Amino acid sequence: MKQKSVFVCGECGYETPRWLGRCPQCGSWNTIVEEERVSLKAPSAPSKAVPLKDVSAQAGQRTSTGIGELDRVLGGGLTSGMTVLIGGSPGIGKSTLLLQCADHLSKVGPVLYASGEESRHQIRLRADRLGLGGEVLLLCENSVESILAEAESRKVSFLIVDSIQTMFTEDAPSSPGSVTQIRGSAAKFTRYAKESGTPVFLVGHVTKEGALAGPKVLEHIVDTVLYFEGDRQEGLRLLRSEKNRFGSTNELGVFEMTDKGMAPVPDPSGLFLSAARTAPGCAVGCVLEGSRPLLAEVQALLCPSVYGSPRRTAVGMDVPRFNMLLAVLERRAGLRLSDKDAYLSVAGSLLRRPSARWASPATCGPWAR
Amino acid sequence: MNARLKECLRLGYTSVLVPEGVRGDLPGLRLVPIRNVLEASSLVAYPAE
Repeated sequence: MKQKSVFVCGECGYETPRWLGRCPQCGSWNTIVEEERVSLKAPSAPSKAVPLKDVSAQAGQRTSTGIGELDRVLGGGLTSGMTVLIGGSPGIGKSTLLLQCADHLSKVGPVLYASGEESRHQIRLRADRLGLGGEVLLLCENSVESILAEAESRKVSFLIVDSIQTMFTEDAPSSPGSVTQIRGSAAKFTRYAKESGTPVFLVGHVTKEGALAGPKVLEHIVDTVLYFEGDRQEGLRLLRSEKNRFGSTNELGVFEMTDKGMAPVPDPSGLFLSAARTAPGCAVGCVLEGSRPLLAEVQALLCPSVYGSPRRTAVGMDVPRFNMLLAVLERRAGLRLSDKDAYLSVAGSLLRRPSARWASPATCGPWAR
Repeated sequence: MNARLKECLRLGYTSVLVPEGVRGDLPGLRLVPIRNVLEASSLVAYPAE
């Protein structure tokens, strides 16, 4: 059979028969690489359609991960055959959280933790540091076929893959981390999850821009996409849901990185409030993150600008949005802000919700008077 | 809105600025209706620096 090569964009998965400098789909430059065209094999036995009423509702029951904040973001726990993709910056705590999760899940059923990044020894050291038990099955392997064979032979109830970028499938000839490999590997894990009813966790790397590395189709294949956010210098981590077929995408999980691993923060409101909340330039707004109300503190400082164009700095909020709010205050509220430097800080970077934006101008008011 | 007000009360707030028209009946929490942000900042008494 004649093998044809195809040029694939590493950012979005766009395919083209010839090389291009700029991807016409996502607009990225120099991301198109040559790969061999492959077709993933169809399942050996064709599936048969069944009436909706005959489908068992048992499959919809939730299994708790043992970590309340993770359950909240997942929509109440894991469902049968669910594929969860967790993305986040290096060192943010993805592997730590999943190892803790694996330890909890091992009390429900056998868990296979397949790592293509760390050795058994490294994982053991981490488990010891976190004070976890040793019931989790470890497999340091990159081959998708080997992992799935081991999962099937051990009859595992949960599968964790760290990470999808290091996995390779024999069906695709390119090297691990390429678009074809990521797509093929994710498709195989997803097919295994759906056929066996085993929940599968996939860890994904993120790009410099913060998006999940690899083709966008990766996010389409899986059921749930979670992003782990937070500053490496700070101990606070936020787990957000970008996509969830089994729950709301508005829920927020809050964790604190401690020496014993990721500790869920069930009451984050107190964490986001500082002691100096009655000082000028401080306002507290109440935002609804999913089903949970959170109090978030906004701090602002205005001072006379020594340069022609005033300085605008915002932490935890888009600077363009901050500029727009200042413009509205200047134009509609009569506050003279164009000759003042403005600094804004939002506790916990929570101001993603539009309902919280009103708290920002309230902080600027006292400085401008 | 009621969930947010309850959270404010739980964290020890006794007065909350709310948009005009919002009603709530939580003992111990005073709702101060405001029309706009400027009104909000003029209502709040900041301690002397």
